[in-house]
Amino acid sequence: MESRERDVRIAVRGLHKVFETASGQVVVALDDINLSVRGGEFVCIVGPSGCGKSTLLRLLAGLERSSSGEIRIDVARSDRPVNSMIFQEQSTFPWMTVWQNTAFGLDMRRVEKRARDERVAYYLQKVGLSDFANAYPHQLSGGMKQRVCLARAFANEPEVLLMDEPFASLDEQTRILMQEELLRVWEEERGRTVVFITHSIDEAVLLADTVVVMSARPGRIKATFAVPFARPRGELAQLKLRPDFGQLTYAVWEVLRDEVLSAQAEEMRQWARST
Amino acid sequence: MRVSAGMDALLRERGRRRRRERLERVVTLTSPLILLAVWELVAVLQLVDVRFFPRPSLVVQQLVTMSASGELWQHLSVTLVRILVGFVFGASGGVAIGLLMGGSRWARAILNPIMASIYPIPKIAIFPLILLVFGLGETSKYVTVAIAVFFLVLFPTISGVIGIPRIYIDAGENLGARGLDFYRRIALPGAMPSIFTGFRVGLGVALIIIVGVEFVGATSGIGYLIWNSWQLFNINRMFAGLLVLAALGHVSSLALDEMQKRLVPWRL
Repeated sequence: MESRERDVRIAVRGLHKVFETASGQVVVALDDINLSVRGGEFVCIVGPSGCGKSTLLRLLAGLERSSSGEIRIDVARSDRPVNSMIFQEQSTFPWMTVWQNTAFGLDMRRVEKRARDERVAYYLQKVGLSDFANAYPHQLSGGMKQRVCLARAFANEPEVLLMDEPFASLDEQTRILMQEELLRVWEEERGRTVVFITHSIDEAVLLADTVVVMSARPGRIKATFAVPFARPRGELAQLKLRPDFGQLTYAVWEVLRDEVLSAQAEEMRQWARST
Repeated sequence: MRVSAGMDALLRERGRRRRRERLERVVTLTSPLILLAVWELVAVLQLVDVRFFPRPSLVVQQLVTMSASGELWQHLSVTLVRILVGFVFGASGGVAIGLLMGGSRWARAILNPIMASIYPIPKIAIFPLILLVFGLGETSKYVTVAIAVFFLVLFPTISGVIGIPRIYIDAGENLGARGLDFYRRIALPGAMPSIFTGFRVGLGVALIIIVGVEFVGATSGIGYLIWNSWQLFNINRMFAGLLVLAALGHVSSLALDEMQKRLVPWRL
């Protein structure tokens, strides 16, 4: 028990987030969230649209402030950043080349030039963008831009990687490749803690060690599933063929279905009220 | 393999774009020459009063004479230096204060009422005041141009920073860009397209301001040359001055285009 306690990298206790909409309506986005993430664990959070999962991630990233509750992220090495975020939207800086984008976090931390260049070259090679180091984002496809974001976040060597539906805006085929690529880079160096938000059950089960299901608004944690598949996971399409993959995704869906339905009902009520 | 083929295509596309841009530049430079040819024809055929609208060839002749005597270069260089010094000071001030106001709510709250109340005053109207403070020398000319350029660069810079999409601000903050780093690596480059709009308008107005200032408060410069020619009723010389101003405006605009291509090689 004690050793498990010590292993906890992210501890969220009694977290609440309440905000006010432009029309003055008070919305409870997160209601008493408790979450523990072990060091080196890959956690996927799934939930219906608008359940506050992105809000939770932004709170973890320190981009927003909670209404109450506690977030603790243990830092093993103080010379490294606590977290790096990968956003759903295109977030490569358009005015920087692929190389400059990837080096950005290291530049901000004043990492010595040689170490920086080495790391940037390494991760650009990992995501297959070495030949595009001097290209600007507008010359790249959506998938390539997200690769730059992966390289940028990994190169920054954060304690925790926070991913907010990073592949949601990509087409299906690109998405499958990107999922494999992410796992390949991550599994190679193990030990980096990941919190990954998605609305795709498949994606969650394919990638995660632990799948956390959130309820419809107000967002609560409704269930947690341990994913038993060994690492490295290899070709993800093959993983999908396994019967226990189907069983697990179905089990997650069963929990999620009620929440999706109630989220939809809430949307209908909102719509009815506004017309 | 696939990647290098992609690079080839990228390079081919770039070559095509370069050739097209060169052609565009040539066309841009020749269209005013055609206008001059029409004017010459109209003047030769006496369709206009040539006392007021002399043949361009005579004006060019006048230009050549003035160029040979050195008179043209002396006036031109004086005007150029005034514009350049005024522009550089005004624009850098506008960018610096603009970045600050764009990036900080507090700076905006404190400075906006001051800036907004000075901005509408036509800058040429405070030239007498500037003469009182800075005297009849060159400084007063620099200051007048600088003040005009300052405001025209300030406001586009502010809106440029405010207009940077939220996602880049978040990403920058998440990767540790704070203080000076934020201004240097996020706010400045992000606002650059908007800043260039300010430069463009600012340079145009600088030209207007300096001519106005040279009309009334100088004994050299292209503005003085034009005013003095009018007083002496030397119309060819006056048109020579106007021609130089037109060329100056044209060239400065092209120079800005070139600068923008180098400084803003990216697109959103």
